[in-house]
Amino acid sequence: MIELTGVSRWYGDVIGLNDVNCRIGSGVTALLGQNGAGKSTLMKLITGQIRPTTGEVRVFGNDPFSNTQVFEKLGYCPDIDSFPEHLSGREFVYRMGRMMGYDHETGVRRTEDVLQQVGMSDRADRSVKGYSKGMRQRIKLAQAIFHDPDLLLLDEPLNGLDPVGRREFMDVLQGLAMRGKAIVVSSHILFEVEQMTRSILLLHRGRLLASGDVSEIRDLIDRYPHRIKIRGDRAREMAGRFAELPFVVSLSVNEALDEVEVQTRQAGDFYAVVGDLAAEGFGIWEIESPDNNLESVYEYLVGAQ
Amino acid sequence: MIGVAFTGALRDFVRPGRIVTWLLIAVVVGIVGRIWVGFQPGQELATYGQVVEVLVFRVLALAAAIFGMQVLAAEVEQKTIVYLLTRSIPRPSLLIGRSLASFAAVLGASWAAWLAAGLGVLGPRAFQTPGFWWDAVVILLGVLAYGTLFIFVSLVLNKAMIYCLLFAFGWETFVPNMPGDLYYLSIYPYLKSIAGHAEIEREAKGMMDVLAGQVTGMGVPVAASWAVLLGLVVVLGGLGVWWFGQREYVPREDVE
Repeated sequence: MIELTGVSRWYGDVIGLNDVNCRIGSGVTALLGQNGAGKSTLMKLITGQIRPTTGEVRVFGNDPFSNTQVFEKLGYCPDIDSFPEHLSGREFVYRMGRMMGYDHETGVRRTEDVLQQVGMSDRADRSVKGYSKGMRQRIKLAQAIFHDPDLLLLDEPLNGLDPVGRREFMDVLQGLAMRGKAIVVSSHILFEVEQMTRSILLLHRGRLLASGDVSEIRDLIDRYPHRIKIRGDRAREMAGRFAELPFVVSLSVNEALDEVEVQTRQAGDFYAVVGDLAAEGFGIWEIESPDNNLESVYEYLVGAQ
Repeated sequence: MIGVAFTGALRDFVRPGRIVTWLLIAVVVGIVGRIWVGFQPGQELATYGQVVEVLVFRVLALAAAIFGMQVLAAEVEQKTIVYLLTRSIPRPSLLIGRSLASFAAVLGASWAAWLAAGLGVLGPRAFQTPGFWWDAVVILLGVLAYGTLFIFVSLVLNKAMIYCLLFAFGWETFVPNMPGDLYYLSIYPYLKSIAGHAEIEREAKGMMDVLAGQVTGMGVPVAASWAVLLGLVVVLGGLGVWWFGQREYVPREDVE
């Protein structure tokens, strides 16, 4: 569906994307990377807003730049929070739909359909200006799915949503995926991505760092020691027990904070032992894994290459 | 698809608040014309011509700059261009549809100012005055010429509004009064030539004569004026459509 071959994109002296090769097929694929990693550049290339400086982008076998044949089958939910603020949500979606070539009657009907799909039917006649962040995201999704596209690209769709909004938004996406749509979602939050899909593309500083199943990324991470901090009432005694474990690489105790910091190669097994200690009567107040975030993943992966 | 782009854009351009603003501007033009004719008794027709050239043509240029920027430059600034460029409407249709909508809006604002000028200076007999209705055609030509030029500039340059306003109120005011051939590079003398208004008869030239481009007394033949302005519309219109089809339009901070 999407094929990038040796794609690089420069903005003057700044490189946005560096020699990316990948293929994206059906199902939900997550584009994962920190801010500035090149996710939006990749999205803009796929949606034909910009051209690659070198290399080739193909969507449905065609060059997407300004290609209406591609746009007929592609829906795009951009990361921007900009709208024609004087319009109501319904007017905005309707107008976007009309520009996909639908006549008035079909446009009105499809507008109502997609507004219902994103749960905005009852609030769509209010001005976009007064919408909450979540409502704006839903309206953006509505205009993207108006023409029932085969491929849906969502650039940071969960940004700024509260937990309930995220859950609802993800439900909508899952519904679309179940209907056989190919969905590409960009995000900088690994946790979020894991809830949506197993298939990821990991971008870092314009380079495609890893691709495949998210568990492979987790495995990559597991090659490197996890740092875990535990606070409890018998820190020194806990540390003694951890020292006996074969998968603990290092440990340190901070008695002033009642804290043990452990580095382990098998985080899952280690957490099981912590559970056992709690069952034995050790008071465990807090478990923190500073590594369990995407920045650490990048550090690991960049370090590994 | 051009029709869809046209109607959608026109609804944006002629919102109630904007209509009121342009009607107020027209009323001001009419009032100024009424006062102006009081200072030049016996020269109503020439005064009407001067009001059209000094005020109506500038209202036209101002409206062309403002609505010309709304065609695409404002969409880029507000980042909403992404919605337009990921539709299945071809870029030429999008540009043509939105440009026609801007021309319609400029024409409405300019004709309102022209009618107000006629009524202010000549009163109800303006409608029977020879040459009055011809100005409607001249204004239409001016809308196309200024509109096409400003839209083209907005497609090519960032912050085009500044350049367009400088052109409309700086270049178009001073160049027609300068000796030499530089005035061929402005739109105003061609419009003035096609309009063919009578000029005020007096020996000493004043500020109004400067604003009306009547200092040097040079003119352009009418046929040449038509050729130049229509040529400008066709050439810049075609170039604009081609350019818009080739160029990337992403909000500026996204590029940085």
